[in-house]
Amino acid sequence: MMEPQKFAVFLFPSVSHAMKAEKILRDRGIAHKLIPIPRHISEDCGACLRVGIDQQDQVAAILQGWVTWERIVPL
Amino acid sequence: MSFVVLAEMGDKTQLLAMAFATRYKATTVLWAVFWATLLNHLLAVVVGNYLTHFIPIQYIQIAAVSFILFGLWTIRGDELNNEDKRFSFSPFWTVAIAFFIAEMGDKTQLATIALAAKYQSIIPVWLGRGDDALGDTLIRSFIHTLLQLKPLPATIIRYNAGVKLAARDSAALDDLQQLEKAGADTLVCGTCVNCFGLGDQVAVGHISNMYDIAEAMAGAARLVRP
Repeated sequence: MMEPQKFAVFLFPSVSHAMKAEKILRDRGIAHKLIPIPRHISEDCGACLRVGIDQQDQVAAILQGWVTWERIVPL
Repeated sequence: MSFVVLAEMGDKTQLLAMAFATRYKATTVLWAVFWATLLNHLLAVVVGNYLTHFIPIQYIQIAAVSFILFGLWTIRGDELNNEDKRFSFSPFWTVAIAFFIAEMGDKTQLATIALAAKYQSIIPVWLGRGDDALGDTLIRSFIHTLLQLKPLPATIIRYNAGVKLAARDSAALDDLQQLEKAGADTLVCGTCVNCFGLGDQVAVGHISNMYDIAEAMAGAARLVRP
């Protein structure tokens, strides 16, 4: 079950970037979740990738060069 | 889709089609063009999909390298002008083969490669239909958002391919489990579970039938569909 955990979200230029990033994390077996962008971050309709805040740097290193993201926001 | 249609306007293949139309029956030309283009673009989609396994997306989308390569090929000549007298094929095959060759390295084909590389799904891009991967993203986002609604839905019903969302390996599983824990009755269509062979894999909700599902729908004050 879900323990209380801190998350960060990766925001991408488009939903296809987010989907591509998700595929990479899925292939690497890294826990993640594709969620709608929380309202307090942006009113835009879009998807972002939520990861554990401890994994943030690791995920950034993995995605580097494969998918560009716009910013990373702690939740 | 519009991207590919625009790329095709005023293209060399459009001129080729006009030239063939003066010589053969219009329907023959159209069918030949249809099959040649379909096959050619299927090839493009497969290549685009395959490329992303090795090359980061930015480099493919630029597609500059392939434009240069095909440009050089064009300088060498495709011999489209010299084929007038040597038709040993039927009209259909003549047109189809000419189109297949003319489409090679075409900007449309490159557009298709780039699109396929970007969306990474063969059939949807090839046939220009809605994107299943996007649909998958949307339904998961929808379910995740249900958790934040007040009041929470009283009942959640999954039927047809929707039952896959309740399977053990579903990416929506923890959201559905949380919804169930929060009190939502979650029904899964039994017929659909059997149809997809998921009998032993349903990890959330209870298997139900058309009576319960129809009653729940008919008795609901409001039905919300994704």
